[in-house]
Amino acid sequence: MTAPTQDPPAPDPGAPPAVELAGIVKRFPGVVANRNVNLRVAPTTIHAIVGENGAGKSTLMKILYGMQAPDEGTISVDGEQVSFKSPNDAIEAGIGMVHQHFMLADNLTVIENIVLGYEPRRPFPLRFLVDTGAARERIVALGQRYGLAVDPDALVETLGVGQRQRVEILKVLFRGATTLILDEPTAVLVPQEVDELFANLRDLKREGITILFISHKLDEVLAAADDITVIRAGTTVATAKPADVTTKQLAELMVGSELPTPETRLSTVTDQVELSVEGLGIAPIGLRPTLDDISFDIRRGEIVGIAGIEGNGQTELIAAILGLIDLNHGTVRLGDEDITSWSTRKRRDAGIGYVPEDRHRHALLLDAPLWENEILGHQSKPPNAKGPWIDRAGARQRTEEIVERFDVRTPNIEVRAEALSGGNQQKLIIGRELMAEPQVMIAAHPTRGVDVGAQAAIWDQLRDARKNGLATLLVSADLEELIGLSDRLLVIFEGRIVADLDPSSVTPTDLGEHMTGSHRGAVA
Amino acid sequence: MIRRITLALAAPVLAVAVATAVSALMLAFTDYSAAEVFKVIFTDGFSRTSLVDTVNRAAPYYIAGVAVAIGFKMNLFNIGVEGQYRLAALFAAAAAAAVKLPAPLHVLFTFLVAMAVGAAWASIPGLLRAYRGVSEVISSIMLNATALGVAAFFLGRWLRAPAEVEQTLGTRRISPSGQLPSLNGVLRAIGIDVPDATRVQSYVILAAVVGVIYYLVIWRSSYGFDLRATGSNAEAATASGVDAKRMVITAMLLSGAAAGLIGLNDIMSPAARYTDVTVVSGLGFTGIAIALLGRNNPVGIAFAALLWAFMDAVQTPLSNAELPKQITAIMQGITVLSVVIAYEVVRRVAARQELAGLRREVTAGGAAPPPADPPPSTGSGPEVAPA
Amino acid sequence: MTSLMNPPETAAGAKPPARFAEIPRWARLVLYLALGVGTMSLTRVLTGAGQLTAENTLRSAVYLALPIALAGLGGLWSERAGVVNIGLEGMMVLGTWFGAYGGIAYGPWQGVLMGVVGGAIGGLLHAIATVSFGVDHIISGVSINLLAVGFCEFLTSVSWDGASARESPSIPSNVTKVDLIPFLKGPLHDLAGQRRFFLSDLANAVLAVTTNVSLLIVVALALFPLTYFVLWKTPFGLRLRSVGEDPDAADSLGVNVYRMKYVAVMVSGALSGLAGVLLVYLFSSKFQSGQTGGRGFIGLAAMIFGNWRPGGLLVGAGLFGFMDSMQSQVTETSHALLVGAALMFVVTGLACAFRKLWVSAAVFFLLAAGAAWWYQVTDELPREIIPYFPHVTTLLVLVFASQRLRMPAADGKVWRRGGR
Repeated sequence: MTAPTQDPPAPDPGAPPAVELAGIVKRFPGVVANRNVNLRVAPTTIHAIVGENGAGKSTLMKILYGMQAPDEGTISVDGEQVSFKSPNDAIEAGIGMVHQHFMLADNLTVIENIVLGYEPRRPFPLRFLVDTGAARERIVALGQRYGLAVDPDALVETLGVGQRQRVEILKVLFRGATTLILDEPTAVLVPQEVDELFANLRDLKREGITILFISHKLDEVLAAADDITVIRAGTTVATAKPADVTTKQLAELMVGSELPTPETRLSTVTDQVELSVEGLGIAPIGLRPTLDDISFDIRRGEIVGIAGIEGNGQTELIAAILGLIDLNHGTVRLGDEDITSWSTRKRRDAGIGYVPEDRHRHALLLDAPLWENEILGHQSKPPNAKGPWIDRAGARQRTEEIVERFDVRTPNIEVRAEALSGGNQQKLIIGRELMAEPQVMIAAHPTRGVDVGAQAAIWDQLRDARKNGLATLLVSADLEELIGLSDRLLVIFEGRIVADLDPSSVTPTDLGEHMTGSHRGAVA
Repeated sequence: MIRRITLALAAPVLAVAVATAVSALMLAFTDYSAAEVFKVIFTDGFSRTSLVDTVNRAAPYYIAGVAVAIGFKMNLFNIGVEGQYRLAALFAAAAAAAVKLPAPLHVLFTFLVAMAVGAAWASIPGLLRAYRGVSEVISSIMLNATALGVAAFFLGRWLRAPAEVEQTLGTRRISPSGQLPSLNGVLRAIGIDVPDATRVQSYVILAAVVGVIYYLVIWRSSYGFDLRATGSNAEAATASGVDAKRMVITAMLLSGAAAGLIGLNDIMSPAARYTDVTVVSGLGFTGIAIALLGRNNPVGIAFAALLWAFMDAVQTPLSNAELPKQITAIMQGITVLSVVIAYEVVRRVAARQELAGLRREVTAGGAAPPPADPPPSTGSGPEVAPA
Repeated sequence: MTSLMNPPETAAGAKPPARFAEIPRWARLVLYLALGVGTMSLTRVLTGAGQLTAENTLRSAVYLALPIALAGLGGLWSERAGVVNIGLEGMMVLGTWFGAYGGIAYGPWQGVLMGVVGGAIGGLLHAIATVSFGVDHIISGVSINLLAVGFCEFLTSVSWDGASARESPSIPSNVTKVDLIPFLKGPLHDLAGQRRFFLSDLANAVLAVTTNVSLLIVVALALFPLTYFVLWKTPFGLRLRSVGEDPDAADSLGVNVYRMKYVAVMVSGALSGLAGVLLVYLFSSKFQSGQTGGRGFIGLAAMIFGNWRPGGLLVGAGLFGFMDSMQSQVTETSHALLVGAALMFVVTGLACAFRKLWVSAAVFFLLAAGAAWWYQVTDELPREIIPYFPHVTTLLVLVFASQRLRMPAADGKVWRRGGR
């Protein structure tokens, strides 16, 4: 990262904070997303907010941008209390949000995307026409002033990621924003684009704009920010200046200084390799590789955990193993066989079980009864099928077994899947996969959105299966789960495996550093 | 369970009620008396003659509904049923007239030819959709029209009966072994008295068989499971191993095969040949309405077919009584529109209730960190008021 | 999830080479038109089928094209806001009925107005079902088609003393015809008579559109540049298009997505209603059951052909209208179309070769050879297929062009506020 080359004008100590959040609380049914959040952003500074997935950062930013209303607490802009009923109110108060997932229409030009909803009009008598010329001029001027040059007449879909981000920033500047919020701005950028972005941010700061950005990449945060606020479990836990703190300390604050201790247990890992991936690579043209030379083995009786901040390639890795996505390089082997070219059905039938991350989208037929859901993924073999026919009795019986053995709380097996609670749905899914006696199991966030009781039960089931020889790939954002269950812990960052750790001896700071890409050590 | 059945019935019942109300309202603006119209509908409509007419009409409607429903189950819109059955009827009639087989085989042969032609014509939109991404809606509508031209072409050039044998343009006659007999005798034998002037077609049996096969394939076979899974949640189906392209093509083939049977009632009747008028047109779109009303369910489609056929059949007594028979056409149209809206409303209400129940189960502050974003909102979540 | 295009994932999008794309859109349109006129002209010269480009043939093509074009324009408005409108056919039927009724009960322009309003009401129904209730767009459209037909049949049976259940009486007075270029008429006629390559045919084309045409045609044609203007040059148009491209982005910037969709779908219905009015006033002068003949759907195909832009849509509708007009021509004329097709295939093949798409080029050259051979060995095209030329053409266009087309990104998706 390049160091700042020019000191910005020292912020006036007497000026009120550009943005201040005090005592913010936000609840959703069953979840408290933000609790007693206090944030103070000094004017013309770059203020970073760091935290893990699920820490509550996004919700906080949505509140600040007017997309959600807080249940308690106050928001102040330039010292005056405000209340936002919609993003339009926030825009008028000078706050502009640059979303992580760009809100740009591909088929429209840069100008069209920028002026949408705020179109300059031609002078009288042509007031019903968009003044494209004036818009173009203003965009070019803004681009020059802040170093954000983009071709105004280009179609957004032709733009690279870095340029699209510039368009998003121009969008808010065009509307006169003086405070910018950037949500994970470097998540999709390659290193050069990151450098350019931070240079742009410094330019913006120099011109009097206040910047708030969310990130989990601690290196970048330390290099670019003037102030840092750490959020964990929905509340602000610390504020610091980059000069006073190291990545180690930040990681510790993010992740919590205590990690759960794994129970001592017998190793059930054998020598027999059940699943092996080698050199997996997915590299879309012109973008950062989604997967970059990933190789690892999973043995019989072993649980390999993959830790990482969401969006670093875990989803694609799983899809590649299952055959749902095409690889540019690499091979996948199941036991002795090379299954790289096999269809998904063939892989599933050969013994790969799958507990997807998003059960509603990928694992359940919500409007079908439980016993039909039990068939999903296993519809070509007994007990669910007899030849070309579905064996209803067999499926029902298996479902009853699952309900009993896996403690799925349901009045009967005829209820529709959507009627079950999340925990019970997940128990059903786990039961369905385990009872098919797979060789390999891929479990993605298996206890997400699941109540504590169901969670413990699912963990027990996974451990039992492991004892019986199942080879499991466990992807999760829950560190307790990863540490508690895994025999080996891999860390994925920007599509690469950056660490191979022993769960029983890993320290929180180490883990946090690997996950945020700021570890200064050789990869194991 | 009871609740589910009530919900399932609520929508169509509500829709019929709305249709009746609107129709009564429209009649109020005319010179005709709504009371008289409904009186004729409910008395003459249930006369034996009218009921026989209803059953006869319902049978091809049922098969049309099944053909369309197969597509719907896969989220495919086979609007091309219209063209598929016309071509199938033509070629089946020609083929049937060209062979001489003992009765059951002759009938079976005709069925098979019709199914093959229907499937072949339906494969075109299927292939276009799977491999070129062309919407099956537009391509099948175009193919409907083209089918008329193709039918006219083949009939005019190669399949026509010579002028000295038949005076009107059409295929040769099918010998009696290839015709579908009447069911009157059978019905009388079991005690149902059918008026002599009418005739219950044995085609009704074919419709029943099609319904049974539909049920067995879609709800009882592995293939059917794949099909329904793809229609219900395509992503989950793919994750479970279904090949999406193959499913599109095979589903269209099945749908076309069923469609092919629709026109057979007309050509295997005593008319025994295909001409431009013997085969009724418009059944493709009727099939869509019936599949929608019957929610793609084999029993539901049966009720929908009977209801629709009843509303068609009752036009005869209405026009005999010099009342506007088109009022039933309106009732049919309004019923369809209200039903699709009602189903959507019911679905959302049910989904909202389930989701609220689901959310109550997720506890706060547990070991699992709360999701980064609030659970996907279906409108009942906390949202900012519209600008 | 239902939409009218489902491009396979492998379609990387064969884009035209950069230089070609830089030619401004209007210039490209002119180029295509010139190419079209040139091909037709060459065909006429090669085959001697003079009627191919005669003034009344072309005028008949224009007349037949416009209902299709207007329906397609209706589809464009709706889909640009993200709502698929299959119910165009039904809205056209409403337009035919109310147009006839108004024309008989009041006067021609009142009939036009009533037809437009009738179509708009159909659009309102579709909007309520799809935008407010979230019914699948295609299901709603199909339902409206069914409803509209039954509705209009009922109305026919109870109107005009119930004389007929299938058609209305004739409209007493029609919209006037105009001559837009009185002073040029003479010289153009002379030019046409000289039968020169390209110039005479162009003269015929101009005459067909501007002389002795119903005012309705002029009004209808004017709606196309007007649409372009509104949708691409005004803030309202930008917001409407953004709703069809990325409703979440539009929503995040304060655009009222629901309102835009409602307006777009109702305009869509109004335009289809106008299409229906044209069918009545320009052809049969009465309402007849079934007179729309699937033109609403062909209009949708024209819209896809035109890549969801008014200019291309007009060209596509013109092509379909021309095909439609072949029905009333002598067989020599329609037979000549084979030569025209062969020429078109050659041109397309050359374009593919220019872009180094050798396989496609070979296919097109083969098709050209086939068409030419077919012309040689036959005297006429099968009579039975001629009425369906527009439909077959539509299919062919869809098959060959599906890769290059770009529909509004959020077309066909049911959108609810707050979900992402």
